[in-house]
Amino acid sequence: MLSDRELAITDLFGLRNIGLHSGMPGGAKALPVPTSILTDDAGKVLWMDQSEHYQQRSDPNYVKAALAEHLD
Amino acid sequence: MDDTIVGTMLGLSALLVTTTAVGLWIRAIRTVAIGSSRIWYIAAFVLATGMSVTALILNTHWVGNVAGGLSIFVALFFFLTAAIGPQKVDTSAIQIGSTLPAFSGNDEHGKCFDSSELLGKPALIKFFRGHW
Repeated sequence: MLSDRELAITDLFGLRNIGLHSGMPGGAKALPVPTSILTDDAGKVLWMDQSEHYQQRSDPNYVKAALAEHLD
Repeated sequence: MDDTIVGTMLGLSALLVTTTAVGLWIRAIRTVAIGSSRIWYIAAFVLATGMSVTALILNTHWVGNVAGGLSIFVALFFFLTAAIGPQKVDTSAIQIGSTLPAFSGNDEHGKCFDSSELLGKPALIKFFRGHW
């Protein structure tokens, strides 16, 4: 698990939340959009899922279904 | 029925609606299980606020006033929390078919990780807020 407090990696992927809620007062300056990315052995993106809400993350069953679809 | 009694009942009922909705909201957050639609939470907070305002207008017993006032404060706070969640990313976001950019960073043990370690095998990368 990588720490990305300055959102350097998040920005590299273009995943900084630029919506209304971008951070809590006194807490993080901004937030990444919760995102799951599946890549193949060459680093090519096969599948990705982004939450529509900063408090949501990809449903585990949804991710497992994507893994089964793209890796089996 | 006396307006004071009605108002007090309304104030207490509003607080009950608010605390129930807040409890469900917090439980959903803790289990990372907020649904894609938050309309019922928002409806509950709007309903509780309306009931509280009505209770205060009816000149309730002080118990109803306190319950109504507290309900308004809490309901409006969580209404804003529930309503301002939608977010969006810049148009430069990585997309299906593109190649991962090279990156590196320190893991939770302070050890440097380089994205080249991901090559040669499938990988699942997740971005999420690290603390609440």
